[in-house]
Formats: sequence, C-alpha cells, structure tokens
Amino acid sequence: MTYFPEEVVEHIFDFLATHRDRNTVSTVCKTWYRVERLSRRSVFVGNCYAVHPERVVARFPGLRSLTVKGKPHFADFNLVPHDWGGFALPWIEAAARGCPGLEELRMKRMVVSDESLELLARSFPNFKVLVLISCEGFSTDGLAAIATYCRVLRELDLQENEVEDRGPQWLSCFPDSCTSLVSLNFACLKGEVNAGSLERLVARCPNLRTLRLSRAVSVDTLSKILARAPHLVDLGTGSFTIDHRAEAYHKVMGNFIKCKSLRSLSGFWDAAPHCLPAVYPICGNLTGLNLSYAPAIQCADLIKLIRQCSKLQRLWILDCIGDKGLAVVANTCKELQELRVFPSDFYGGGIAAVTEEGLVAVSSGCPKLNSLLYFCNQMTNAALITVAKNCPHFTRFRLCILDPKKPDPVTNQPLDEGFGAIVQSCKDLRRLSLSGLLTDRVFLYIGMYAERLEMLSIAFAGDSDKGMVYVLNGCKNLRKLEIRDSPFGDAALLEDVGKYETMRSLWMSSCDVTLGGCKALAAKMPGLNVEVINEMDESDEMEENPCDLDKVEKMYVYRTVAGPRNDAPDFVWTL
Amino acid sequence: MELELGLALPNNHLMKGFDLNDGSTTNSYRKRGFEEAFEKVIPFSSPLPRKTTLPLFVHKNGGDGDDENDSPQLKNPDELNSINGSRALVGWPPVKHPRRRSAGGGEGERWSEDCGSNGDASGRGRRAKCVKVKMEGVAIGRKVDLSLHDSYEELFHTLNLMFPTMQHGITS
Repeated sequence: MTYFPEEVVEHIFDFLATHRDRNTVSTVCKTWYRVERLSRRSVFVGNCYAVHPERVVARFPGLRSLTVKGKPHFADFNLVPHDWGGFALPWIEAAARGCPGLEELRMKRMVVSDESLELLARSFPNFKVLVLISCEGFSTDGLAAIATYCRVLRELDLQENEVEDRGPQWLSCFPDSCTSLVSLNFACLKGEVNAGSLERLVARCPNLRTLRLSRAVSVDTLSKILARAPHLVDLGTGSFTIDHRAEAYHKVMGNFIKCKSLRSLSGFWDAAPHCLPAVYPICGNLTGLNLSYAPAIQCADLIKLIRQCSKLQRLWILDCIGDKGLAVVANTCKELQELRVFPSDFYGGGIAAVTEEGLVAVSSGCPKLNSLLYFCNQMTNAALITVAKNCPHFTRFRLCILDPKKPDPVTNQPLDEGFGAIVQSCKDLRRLSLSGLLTDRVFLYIGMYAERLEMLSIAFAGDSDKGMVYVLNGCKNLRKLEIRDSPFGDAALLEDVGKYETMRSLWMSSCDVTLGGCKALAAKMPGLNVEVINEMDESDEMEENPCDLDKVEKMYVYRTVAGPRNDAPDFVWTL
Repeated sequence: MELELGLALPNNHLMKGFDLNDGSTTNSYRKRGFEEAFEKVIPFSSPLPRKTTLPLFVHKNGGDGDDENDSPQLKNPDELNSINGSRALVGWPPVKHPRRRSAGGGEGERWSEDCGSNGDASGRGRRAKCVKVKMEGVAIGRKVDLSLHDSYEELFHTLNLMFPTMQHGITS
C-alpha cells in the first residue's frame, strides 16, 4: 500500500461506511492512521467518559459530525441519580477550540446547560444539525441562542428532553433570513408557543420536511401550517382536540388531504376519537404512526384508523389496542417492521391490555417484523416459540411482562424455553430485553445462540452466578450488559474480567455484587472505571464505614482511556 | 423458603363496618372478598366467584413453592397485587419519564417516581410516601413508596421482589 499516494488511500477510505471499519483501518500502520484521522468527518463516542474530549478533537481536526452518549440506559428509568454526570460542556468547549468546522452534534442522555448551547451557537459558523435525545439541564433560553446564532441551521431535533420553559420567545429568535430548516422537532417542550412566529417560520422554510409540534400548538395553528407546508413528510401534531362539527375540523381535514408527501404521523396529544377521521385521507400513504400519547383513543377507534394504513412499517401504540386490535394490525399492515406497544394506565386498561395472543397474531401476519418493544400482562413459552418460528428476522426483541418474575400462566413454567427459541431462531438479534420468570437456563441459551447480540437487559432473572457467566462467556459481540435485581454476585463479576474491555459498559443494580468484588475488579483491570453509586441517606450509619462484604446498590463499569473522571459527585466512588 | 408474613384478621362478625372503599356494596354479614376490596378495579361483569373468607397468608411464589394457597379464586386479586406492587418498584415497568406523565389516567399518577431528592416533581398527582426498608442481615436498604400500595398483600409482594433471598420467616 506504500505505492499508493495518500490521496488515493483517503479516497478509498471514503467508501468505508461504518465507524467500526474506519477505526479498524486506522490501526494498520502509521500512514493509514494519519490519513484516516485527517480525513475523518464523523465520530461516534458511545460513552462520554471513555475518552477525553480534547483527545478526540486533537486526533480528528477535520471533524464535521460528532455524536456523544452520556448516562447509562437505565437512567431512562430513574435508576441513575440525576447528578451522576454526563456533561456536554467539556465536549462543546473542546470542539470549539479544535474543530471549528463542526456542523453536526448529536447527544443522548447528557446534561446540556444553556451556557453550552450558547457556546455551541456562537462557535461554529457552519453549524447545521443539533439532535438532543433524553437530555436535560437546558431551557428555552438555550434554544433561543441556537435559533439566533446558527445561521444555516437545518435540523433542530429535540426528542424527549427535560426542558425548562422560560417563555415562547425562542421561536421568534429565528431571524427572517433563516430559510434553511429541513427538520424541526420541539414536541417535548411544555410551554406556550407563539403561533404567529411558528407559522411565519414554516412559511419561509421551503425545505421543511419534518415538523413535530408540542402539545401547546392548537389544531387551528396546525391547519394553517399544513396549508403553508403541504410538502411535509413527517408530522407531529400538537394538541389534537377539535369539535368535529366545526368548520375548523373540515378545514384541517382539507389541509391534510393536500399533504401528499406525508409518510409519518405522531403527536395526537389529547386526541379524542371523533378527531381521528380528519387524518383518514392520508392513512393509505403512512409508513410510520405513533399514537402512544393518545390514551383516550380506545380499541374500536384505533382499529378503524389502522384498517386504512396498509403501508405501515412502523407502529407505536398503547396497549389499549388489545389483542383484538393487534389482530387487525396483523391483517392490515403486511409491511410492518417495527412495533412498540406501551402500557397505558392500568386502572382503565386492565381488560384491554395485550397478552401473548396479540403478539402471536402480529408475528403471523407481519413476516417483515424485525423490531419489537412489547409491554404485556402475560406471555407463554408456546407463544414465544411460535413467534420465533414466524419471525426469524428480529434484530431487536424487547419484551416486558409487567409483573416481574411472572411464569407462563398456562404451564406455570419459567419462560426459558420461549426466549431460548427466540435467540436460536433470530440469528441477527442485536438487542434483547428479558422479563418474566427466568432461571439460569435462559442465559445458557443466550450464551449458546445469541452470537450477534450486542445489548442485553436483565431484570429479576436468574438463580445463580452461572447465569451471568453463561452470557459473558458466550456472547462474543456483547457491548452493553445491564442487570437489575438479579442474584449475580462477585464470582460472576470476576469470572472473566478481560471481557469488560471488549464491551462498552456493564451496569448492575440491586444484585449480589459486594464492595470487595468491585474493588477486586478495579484492581485487576486498570483500563476500566468501576463506579459504585451509593446514594447517601442520613439514617444510614453503615455507609460511613463501608465494609467490603457489603453489597453495592449500583455499579457501573466501563472501559476507558481517560482514567477516573474528575467530575464525579460525592456518591459516586470510582474504585 | 418463602417469607411468611402473618396477617391476623378479626372474625366475621367484627368485620361489619370495616371497609377500605366507600362500601356501597358491602354485605354486612360476611367478610368482603378481594373483589369488593378492589371494586374500583374489577368491573361488575367480572366472572369472579364470591369469596367468603380472606386468606391469612398470601404467598407470591417464584414458581417453585408449594401451591396450597394458589387457588383459582385467588388468581386475579393476586395478579392485581403483584402488578400494583410491582408498580412501586423504582424504574418498573421500564418506561421513559415523558411517557409516564402522559399515560396516567383519571386516577392520578400511579407510577413510582424515584422517592426522594432525585424525583421529578412535575406531573405527580399524589404525594409519595417513601420509607426505607432494611432487612436484617442485608446491608442495603430499599426505598418503598407506601402510597402506591393499597393493601398489605401488595406491600408484601413488593418487598418479596426487593429482598428475594429471604431465609427466615417473620411474624408481625
């Protein structure tokens, strides 16, 4: 390869699509390392504490797109204390110093302050894309800075963030000269929205294709927006309450009809059943539908709607759809690839909630199904075995039986065989979440068959250390393992310490791992950060004199080249 | 070994007037069954047979215990206990925050926010009554939100999930 001039090598590297491949070629020789790093445009940092921001920026000065993830996944469910860490500022500061050409920043589960948003807005003249998912720590003032200073902003995508509302002015901060927006998603905002500013913004952005509104946006405003932007592809409605006898209703329906390009619908806050027919005209074109924020819409109306969505590929819905509704999905949505069924409030939906029947129906009717998130009241081994046979293409399979440790209600057996069938049949399975009553046996199956598995979530499962060891020994591609309330202890943790350097992270909470075990792991593996999270309580004398035999409440282990972090709060001990 | 919590109930004739709910359908000359106690949850059309006694012990088996108390009549209330109780576990079911706030129905939020300083206060329709439960021999206590439990059985079920390796019985 020394015969090729570097420009040619660089050109060849352009064809490498994945981060993994580019990372690999950079290790071949010094020349390739240099060529790769100078031509690298996009970097993905899966754990913000795995590497110092300065080091990333120094290595890739030509960086245009940066993605960084912070807190561990279980932070989504309140298992990680709020002030654990994951701060965006060091990354933005480092990039501001070293990569002025940065155009795109994507962050997930990080703490982003208004100060960092302001720095971001002012530091990168070519900044185009900001995506924040499940982040917190900022307010609408930070958004105002982005709107004001990012002159060529194309995408502002805020997904499920906790944003403090400081008024609707931020939307008016987009200058009149801003016409470049392609995607705007502020669905997670809770405050008032200036309808006039919004309408004017939409009107002057002819390339706008994705628009997801917040709950504060009325149907009236939506109607006007649709009239101005009939070329929308992805729409999140705001509050979807209209009197179906009123003229406003017919107007919005008329405007929906004009949106021939609309392929994805979401939002529907506060939607009542009589409002749904307004979208019937465009259902036939829909590939994506998210009704999971509309608890007032029950099975019968959901069915009426879904019967018209024959091209649906992605469906997010509440469990009030019931098994009956899922049977309709199975009959209608033959192109379905991704299904998510979320739990609604139990006290209304106890009868209509879904069971194994619904899942079996969908698996039988939708052969292309490859991604599942399913909250249900019960599951049987027979059903899982059937599903495994019907849908061997699952890449993501996340099943949550609402009652922890619930066995197969028909046989009273654990669900080992059912999940075993899933991992055996679905050779491309990358992500798996388990639930129900499970013994060590299920982990034996997972270790044996789940060769491509990258992420595994375990809760209230297993009998002994053997379970965890089966997984660590067997799953060669495992990157993230998260475990809660399961009887795995030090023996399992320390069985193969080298394994953790091949993984991004390990989370264990309310398990049997002791402080001594964590210390032993930290001592053996300097390339890992072993964080023990013990939230202090005034009533606990024990915590002042921690003993090695004490079990740890929460433990987070991750590989890193950055050493112990210097921003850890008091209750996080890096051993 | 199962954790056995003794729940001693007064006799039949002492049950008159004792009611968890407003008691509109209470039959005063016999004990209420689970169906009446949880009336607001089970619809009237439920085919559950009327029970005349409340069990003294409720075992939530892990599937390997003895089944002597697992009569068919108990199944639905048992399920209710376990589902209600399991809602009191922090981070269970694993649903993201924004979804929890919008999912709650007219009964008010029933999901367990993280008790204490880390909780997100917005959207909560009730006050969390969190206590820290410590079991003898176990160093780490667990937080339990009492306001999410309607009965002793539900609390028992939650505790059973939090302290699974109990070796000895406790009597109240």
